[in-house]
Amino acid sequence: MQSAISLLELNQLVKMTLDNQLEPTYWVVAEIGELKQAGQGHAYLDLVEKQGNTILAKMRANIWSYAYRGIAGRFQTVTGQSLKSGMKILAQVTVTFHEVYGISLNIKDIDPNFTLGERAKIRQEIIEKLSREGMMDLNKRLLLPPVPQKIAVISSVSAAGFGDFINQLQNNRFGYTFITKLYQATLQGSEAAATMRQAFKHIFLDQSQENFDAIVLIRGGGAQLDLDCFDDYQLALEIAKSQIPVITGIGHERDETIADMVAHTKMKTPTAVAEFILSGFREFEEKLHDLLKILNRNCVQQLNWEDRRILDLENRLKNQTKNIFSRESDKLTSRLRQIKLSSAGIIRVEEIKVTNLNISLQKTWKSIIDQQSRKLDQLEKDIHKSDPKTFFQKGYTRTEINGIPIYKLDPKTGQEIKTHLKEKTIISVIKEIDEHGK
Amino acid sequence: MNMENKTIGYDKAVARIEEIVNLLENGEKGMDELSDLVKEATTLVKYCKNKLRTTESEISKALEENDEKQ
Repeated sequence: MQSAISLLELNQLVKMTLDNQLEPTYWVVAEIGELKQAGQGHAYLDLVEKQGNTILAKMRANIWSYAYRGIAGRFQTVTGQSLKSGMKILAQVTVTFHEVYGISLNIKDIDPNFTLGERAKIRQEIIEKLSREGMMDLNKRLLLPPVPQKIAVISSVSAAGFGDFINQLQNNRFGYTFITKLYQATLQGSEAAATMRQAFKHIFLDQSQENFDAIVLIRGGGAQLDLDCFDDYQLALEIAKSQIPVITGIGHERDETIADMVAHTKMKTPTAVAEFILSGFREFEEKLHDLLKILNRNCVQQLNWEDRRILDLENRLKNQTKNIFSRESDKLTSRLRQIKLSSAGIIRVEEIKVTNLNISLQKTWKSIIDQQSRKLDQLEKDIHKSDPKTFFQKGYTRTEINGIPIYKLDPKTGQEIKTHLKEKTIISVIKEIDEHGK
Repeated sequence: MNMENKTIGYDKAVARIEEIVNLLENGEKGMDELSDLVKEATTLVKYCKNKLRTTESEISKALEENDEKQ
């Protein structure tokens, strides 16, 4: 049986063995499990190796502050993003063993190009997947209205780029009117992709009421260059499947993000998006202006043509009328002559008739007058005959009882009778009636 | 009746005269009425004669004018 040694002696033995057996440094491929920055500027990490969700290996690591500043700065410059958990890195490490703290890795350097390549690989995989699924051109097939007036904006209200965009649109010197609605999203950090996806979902829900013409996805300006969230597969799906055209203005210098690729239109900056939309308006207005010009020209041409046509028609009408007038006038003259001729004949006949009538009239009226005169003479004679004066003159008298001639009555003795003579009337009483001649 | 002679018209005047003559020939009227009827008839005869003369001269004149015109 071996003789026992102390824990310190064992740890010293491990340390000595490691120092003797291991190379001074190794280049190790690992994923950052966790990353903490300590107050003194040191960074403490967990490096892991995974297969799916299973951790195959894990070790603590640190980067001392003097090295960390350089490593982090270079990494940022090359990859465009800062070191963070979940990132695959290629690190130059020294294995160190401390009798109290145990084994850990001291990171001397990190090759940012490895991470860049790694990310490019993942990105390429996403692009290939989207292409297979037919998502790359889906949104581009939508028709962007020439005058997109109702715009849903996905951005952060505090982002400078959002302010620039709204300012540029609302204060455009052409006086175009816009209706914009902001759908708030976080544009950096681990929650960025999720909040943007959420914003898209809100827009789709609102679309039946809002009728947006376009969705604008814009990022605030500044030096922040963390663009990984715009390479998110799920976000790319939302953009691709959107029934509303999506315009991006993410504002970055490096190659386009996947969001840019699947969007309907990609612009570099929020300001460029605003300029793009305004240019659409201007183009539309110019087109309208041109159309108006053409319309005006055509109208003038048409009017001139119609003027000439009407003038021509007028002349033809005048000539025709003149012809008809003269023709009709000739006709009338000849008719008049005919009428004169035939009426002269009729008048002559009628004259003869009237003369004859006159003659017979003269004969007739005289005979009527004579007849009437004779009739009147006869009547006069009859009256004269009946006139009491006439027979009084001859010595006759007239006897009446109560105003009725006596010969019309049956007189009785004792009745009073009146006898009229020429110059007197005798009243007497019947004494006796002698009937004779019966 | 006398007062109406001027407006009565020739034909009506003659009819009235004939009516009076009939009445007289009938002999049923009293003395007073008799002399009134005779007076009326006499007046009407004068009127009618006058009317005839006027008509005659008017017709002659009209026919003369007509002849002149022709």
